[in-house]
Order: sequence, then C-alpha cells, then structure tokens
Amino acid sequence: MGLYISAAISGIAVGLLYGMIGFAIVMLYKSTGVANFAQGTLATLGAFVAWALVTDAGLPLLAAIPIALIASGMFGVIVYFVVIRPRASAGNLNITVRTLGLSLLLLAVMEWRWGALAPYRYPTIVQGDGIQIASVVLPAQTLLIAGVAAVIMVLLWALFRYTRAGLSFRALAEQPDTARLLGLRATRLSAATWGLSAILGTIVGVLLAPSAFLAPSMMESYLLFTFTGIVLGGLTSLPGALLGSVIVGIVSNVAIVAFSLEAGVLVVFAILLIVMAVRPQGLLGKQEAVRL
Amino acid sequence: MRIAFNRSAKLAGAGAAVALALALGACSGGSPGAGGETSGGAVAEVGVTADTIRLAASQTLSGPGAASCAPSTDAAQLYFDKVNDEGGVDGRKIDFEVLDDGYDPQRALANVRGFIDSKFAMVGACGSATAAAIYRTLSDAGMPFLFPTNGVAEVVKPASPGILQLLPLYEDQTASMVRYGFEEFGSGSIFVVVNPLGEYESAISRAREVAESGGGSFVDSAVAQLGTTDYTPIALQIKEADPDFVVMSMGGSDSAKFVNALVDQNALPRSAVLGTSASVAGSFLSSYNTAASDKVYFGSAIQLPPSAENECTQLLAGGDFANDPIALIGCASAQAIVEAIRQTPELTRANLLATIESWDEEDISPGIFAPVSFSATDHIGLKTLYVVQPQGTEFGVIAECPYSEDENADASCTPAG
Amino acid sequence: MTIAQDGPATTGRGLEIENLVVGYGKAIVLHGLSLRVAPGEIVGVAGPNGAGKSTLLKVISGLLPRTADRMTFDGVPLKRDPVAVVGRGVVHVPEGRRMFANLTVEENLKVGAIGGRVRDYRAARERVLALLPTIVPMLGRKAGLLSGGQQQQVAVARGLIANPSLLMVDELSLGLSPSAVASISASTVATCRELGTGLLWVDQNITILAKHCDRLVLLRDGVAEPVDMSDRDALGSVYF
Repeated sequence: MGLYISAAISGIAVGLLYGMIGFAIVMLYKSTGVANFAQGTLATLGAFVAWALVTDAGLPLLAAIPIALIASGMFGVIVYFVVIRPRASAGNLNITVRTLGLSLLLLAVMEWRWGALAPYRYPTIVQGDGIQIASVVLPAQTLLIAGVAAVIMVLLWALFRYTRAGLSFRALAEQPDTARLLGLRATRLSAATWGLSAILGTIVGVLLAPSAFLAPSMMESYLLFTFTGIVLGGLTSLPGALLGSVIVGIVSNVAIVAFSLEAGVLVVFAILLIVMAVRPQGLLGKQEAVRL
Repeated sequence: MRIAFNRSAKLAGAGAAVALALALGACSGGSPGAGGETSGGAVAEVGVTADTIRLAASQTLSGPGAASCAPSTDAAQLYFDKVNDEGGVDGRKIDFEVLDDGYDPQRALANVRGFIDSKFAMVGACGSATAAAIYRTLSDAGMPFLFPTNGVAEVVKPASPGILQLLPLYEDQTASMVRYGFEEFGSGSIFVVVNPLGEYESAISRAREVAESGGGSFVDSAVAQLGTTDYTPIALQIKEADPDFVVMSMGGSDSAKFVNALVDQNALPRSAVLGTSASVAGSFLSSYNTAASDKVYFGSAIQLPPSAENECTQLLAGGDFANDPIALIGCASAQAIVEAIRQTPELTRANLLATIESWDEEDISPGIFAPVSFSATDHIGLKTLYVVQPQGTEFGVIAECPYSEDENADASCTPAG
Repeated sequence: MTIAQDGPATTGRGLEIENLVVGYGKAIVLHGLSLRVAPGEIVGVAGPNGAGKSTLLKVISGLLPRTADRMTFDGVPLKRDPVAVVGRGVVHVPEGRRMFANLTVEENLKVGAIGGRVRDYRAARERVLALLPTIVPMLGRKAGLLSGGQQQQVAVARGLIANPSLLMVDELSLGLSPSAVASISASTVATCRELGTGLLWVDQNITILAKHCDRLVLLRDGVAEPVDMSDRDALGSVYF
C-alpha cells in the first residue's frame, strides 16, 4: 500500500509538469481555437536559447532565463505573423497542420544547430535534497515546478477571468467574426496570445530540461501525457488542464507499480480514447456552443 | 547500442508531431545509387574495379535520431578518406556512399536493393530494426554486411552467410555483467530493467539464469519504453524490493534518467548497477548524476578511453565527436573492413568473407577493439567485454571479462592493469 | 474616435454613400446604391430576402470589399476595417444577435465597450442600463441561456455601450414574437433618440420600420428607393 501512495505522490509531481505544458496549449486553444502542436518544440527552443546564453555568452542562469523569456515572447509574435496569420481564414484544421509543420521545422533547426552533441546536462535553478513524503523523495526542482505551476495557473486564470485582455481572448475564441465586428483588435490579441504561449513554453522547457536532459526532441515523450491530461480536463479549462494532467500522472505511475511500466502508457492511451468517446468536453470543459 | 535505442525511442514516441515527422520522412525516399560498372581488372566482382572499391551504408540521417546515428558513418567516412589519401587499398580508392533510411526498415530495404548490384559490401550502421529487415536479402545475394550495430539475435545466431558483427548481443552482455557483479561483490538478488532493444526478453531471462545458477536470486523485472518521461515509479519499486544488484539494458539518455531517479529516491542497490554497452554513450555521460558513479558498471565493446596510439583516436581527436563511443565504433569498424580487404588476395565477396571467418584473435583496431575471432558458425567477433565506469566526463575501463555465447563459460574477469 | 468616446455627435454630416457597387464574385448585389443617414436620424431599410440589406451593413462595417464614389462618415472616408469603423463611432448589431454564449451578459457588454474604446465603462454601462432596465436582472447570466428576445435586447445594448454615433441593426425582428418585436423596437428607438444616436435599421418587417423610423428606403434591384411613408397602400404593396 505504501508503494502505491508513494507512486501516487510521484504522479502528482510529474502531472504538474504535464499540466504546465498543457496550460500553454489550452490558452492558445481557448483564445484562437488552434491546437498548437508546436508547443513542445517551442518549449525546447526556449530552453536551448537560455542554455546558449549561459554557455556561449557566459551569463548566469538567472540572467539568461529572463532574456530567453523575452526573446521567446518576441519569437511567438513573429511565428504568428509569419506562419499563422497569412490566409488565416483557411480554417483551424489548416492552421493546426501549419503548427505541425512549424514543429518539424524548429526540430530540424535545433538538430542542425545543437543536435550533434545533444543531450546536454542542464543546470537546475534550485539545488537541495527536497522533502520526503511516504517513501518518495521530491527533489527541490520538483517542488519548484509544483510552485511555478500553481502560480502560473492562478495568474492565467485571473488573466482570463478578470482582465480586459482575458475577456477579449475569450470573446475572440468564441466568435472571432463578431469580436472583430465589435472592434476588438483581433490581430494584436492573437499575436499577444502566441507570444504569451511561447513564453510559457520557455518556462516549461527551462524547468524540465534538468530532468529530461536538453535535446531537440526532449518534449516529444511528454506530449502524449499532456494531450491526454488536457483532453481529460476539457480543452478549454485551465484548472481542468492541471487536474487532468495530475490524474494522468497518478494513474500512470500507480499502474506502473501495480502492473508494469508498459501498462502506464497503455492506461494513458485508454483514458484518452475513453474520454474522447464518452465525455468529449472533458471533466471541466464546456460543451461547444451550437453555432447556427 | 545507443544508436538503435534513440531511434526506437522516436518510433515509440508519443507526440503526434513525431508520428507525422516519421510519416513525412518515410515518404521522401532516397534514390538508389548509380549502377555499378563491373569492369575488367584482376578480378571481376560487383563494386570492384581496378582503381575503386564501392562500399555503401543505409543509415539514419534524417529525423530526430540522426544526431546519435550519423557519427558512426561520419567517422567511417573520415577513416576511408584517410586511407584514400594514403594511396588507397592496394591502389584502389574506397568509394563510400551513405543513403538515409530514417530508421525505417522499408526504406533500408529499398536502399539495399539499390546497392546489391553496384556495391561490393554494406558497411554496418544504426539499428536493430533496420539490420533485422535487410540481413536476409543481403545474405541471399551474397553481399557482405560488415559489422552492423545490432541487438537482434536471429541476424547473427545462427550465423547467416555474409552477416558478421563485432558487438556482443545484449542478452550475452547482461549474462556477462551479472557474472562480473557476483564475482566482484558476491552473489545476491537482481532486479532487471530494460528498454525494448533487440530481444529484451532474452536479455532478462539470460540475466536471471546466470543469477540463479550463480547462487543469487531474481527479484523482478520491468520493461520501459524508450523515452519514458518518469522513472520514479520504477525507482520506488526497486527501493521497496531492495535488491543487491540492478541489471539494465537501456539507451544512453534513458540510462541516465533511470540512474538519476535511483539517486533521487535513495534507491541505489546495495552492490552495483550493472548495464550493457547500450548505456555506453555520450548521452549518458552528459546527463547522469555523478553521485551514482561508484555503483555503476557497464559492459563496453570498446576500450575506454581509447588508446592514443590508435589511428581512430587520433583521427577523431578534436572533432565534434572525439569522445563519442559510437563514432569510435564506426571508425574502428572501418579499420576492420579495410584490414579485411587488405588481407584478401583476390577481392571477391566470397574471399572477403572467408578472410574474416578465418580471423582468430585478430587485432583489427588495437587499443579500441579487443582482438576478434570469427568462424563459419560464429559471426560475433568480440570475445572480450570491457567493464567500464563513468569517471567525470569519460568512461574508464576497470576490468576485462571474457565474453562467450557459451552459457557455461565461467572464466573470470581480470582487473584492468 | 474622440466622438465615439466623448458622446454621440450632434453636428457633422453623418453617413453618406454614393454609387456603391458590391458583388460576390460575378454576382453583383448592390448596383450604385446611394444612401444618407443624418446625425441622430432613424432610417429604415426594407427589402425582400436577398435584396442585399445585410450586405449593405457589412460593407459599411468594413467586412466586405466594395467600390463607391463616396462612402464617408462625418465627411471622412470609412476604411475597409471593422476596427477602424467602430473607432469612428459606427457600430453594427449583427443579424442573429451573435451573443458570446459562454460569457455572461455583463461580460458581453464589456466586450462591446472594449471594442468601442470606451474609457469609462461604468458610466457607459449606467447610461445604457438606465435606458434599457430590462437587462439589469440578466447581467450575471450566461448569454447563451437567454431567450431570443432577451439576446436581441443585449445585442442592442452591447452595441450602444460603445457610445456610437450611428448604430446599425440587422433584422431586429428575426425569429421573435410580435410582442417581443414591439417592445424591443420601442425601447431601442427610444434609447437611440434619448442618446441622440443615429439608427440605420434593416428589416424585412416593413410595418415595424414604418412605425418607428423617420424615413424609409426600399432596397430593390440593388439600389435604394425612397418610400412615401404617408401612403399606407404603397407601404403594403412595396414587395410586390
């Protein structure tokens, strides 16, 4: 029994990480209706930029990270104008496929620039022994991830709930044509959303790289868990993304100790399929409003 | 080896983008090489003319795995260039063509079909899955396939004509490493963790057999997909099972993640973590938690660090992959191929194979590979497994173990001098 | 822009359109239409289905490409950009209400204010709610849960909260009961008159237009024809 409790606790820790990747995807989906498959590579790129600032430019990590965040925000905006905005009326499927293409392109660029010597050891932001709960040890970096995930979720939730920009994002996501007709600056808002999601990606990348090891394809194996988590939570709900991801983390880690490591992935696939078939709006998501 | 793993990891990778990447990669097939001219010289053999010997490889050059695979053929190319600069082999220059297969068995097979009628021999490259897909076609055509990096037993056991590899199979390595661990620390309980590389069931069962026959016990085993995101649960299981040894056969990055999880969870076994040559990769060195170094022992196909006297060591020094075991293996394998060609008086495929099968304790790449021996029925060349430990940013040999496919071999390991 | 923020214009020249031509590909919908809405004037545009009523409003809002000799508001040309048009104080209440269904009524109003660059949301909200008090009890509800009539009322309020000089309403009566049409029409027109906002109102229901509007035009064959509102018989037969 103790083993299951420990596995569940370790599942919460890793689920928070899946959830943070999920935030960025959910935010973009909420405000533009596009599922961004490039989120993982954007995160990796951000981590590489911070890393290059440390190793090539000799900056301390805590100086490199803010610069990388700003750079990735600008890059997100550029991506919007270069990749997403041209012929934006082509429909969300078209745009979603563009994000897949972008992901492949970024991956190729990172392989070309950094791939030969990957993976790299990545500095942790905090060191320390962490804490022990049941028989599981939570290292300091894991506790930091949990804290950052909580802060980001609260900030994003407040942004969507209480600010004019957040309200505009939601209106734009629901009825882009009407939002424009009422005078919302759709282009500016969408560009801002892309910038923000790229920044979130970089935060995730920098936090994840010490344990996942920095390599161009670092995020790939996380995306299945993340997508399952956000589908489970409801694609449009930020708290849902976190809840769904934590559930995925717990269930897969408990399945691993109960059955086998392979069972962990099988269970996650099963969750994904069942949720999509039985409750497509997820746990906390809203049913799509019927459009006439 | 690491090569094989990293690619499988991508195949097993879950992201939709990955799947699409592979699908797209698979569509942009390479075109086969130009038709060969078998012209009159002293001999008439496919891919051999008076002044040229044509060799080829099908390698993972695209997709996310390219970075870990490419160094082996890049290093081989460097060695062939060096040989050519020095006048070639008996006046013949080596022409080496590498086509991309994106670690797709179908593309590898298509590449091979294009090579059979124009190239003399295939140079081994990345991967169990691709090697398993192409070895029968090559064997049937009588085309030598020299030294693939392969973990699938059927490719070399029983020996297929023309298919020869240097590296021991993982299953033999896990057996050897358990034997080494028991010799060094006394027999005890083992917990086996593997990534699905080559034939992983036999890697587990061979370790178990050796443990049980050596007075130890088998506690449990676990199979983890390559690129597993979180090894904490398995570390917790090991902590609870409390074995004397952890035996692993895992890719470089996965080995590091797993070892790091053992350290984080205070779950390192009492005696040792015993791994295969799959872990002996730059990706392990760059990422593992050094707190584990004292307890980690890996089997290695090559001596590490390599002898400074060896041509390959000198050739790769200062380059991008100076310390990359994969590149060393690629270069040293090329050395072995050139040596075999030199020793073959009438250069035909059959004669070349006969030369290699006659090798007994042949020192093909001194200071990197131990002497190799082949026979008509034994197509795995290395008879020695080095035991290495990570020491900072490189591996160092601490012992040599006789390695044999013979289950009953029990000659003991000797510490490195 | 400043007009929209500081209150409706009482001077200026309002909307002026001359020789407007609009088509979807080869199908020409408006052939040289001319129309004028003076500041504060309430103009009804009637016409059968497919006559181009909605097209006319979309063109003014900048959603569709067009050619025209003149298309100005207060003497300055209107750009083909909805954001710029709203900025000039011309706000469009689209056909079918187009509520943000998952947003509350209050949030719908806020979006209207954000789009209209309203600096003092609280004041704008008070002004509109004072004139359309039926909305007040619905403020906290999700807009998607309201009845069609309630949604229409909110859609008008969402347009008015931007303090427009000219409000354009598309098919206010569509799908509503006669009593709802009567009350919403009355409150909308009264509010516009109170605020001094011009109203360009297109509708199939010529009777309701005739009841409330200062002036009526009929859209037929791609041009606007004036209708003599004193001639009841003519009104009844305009479609035929």
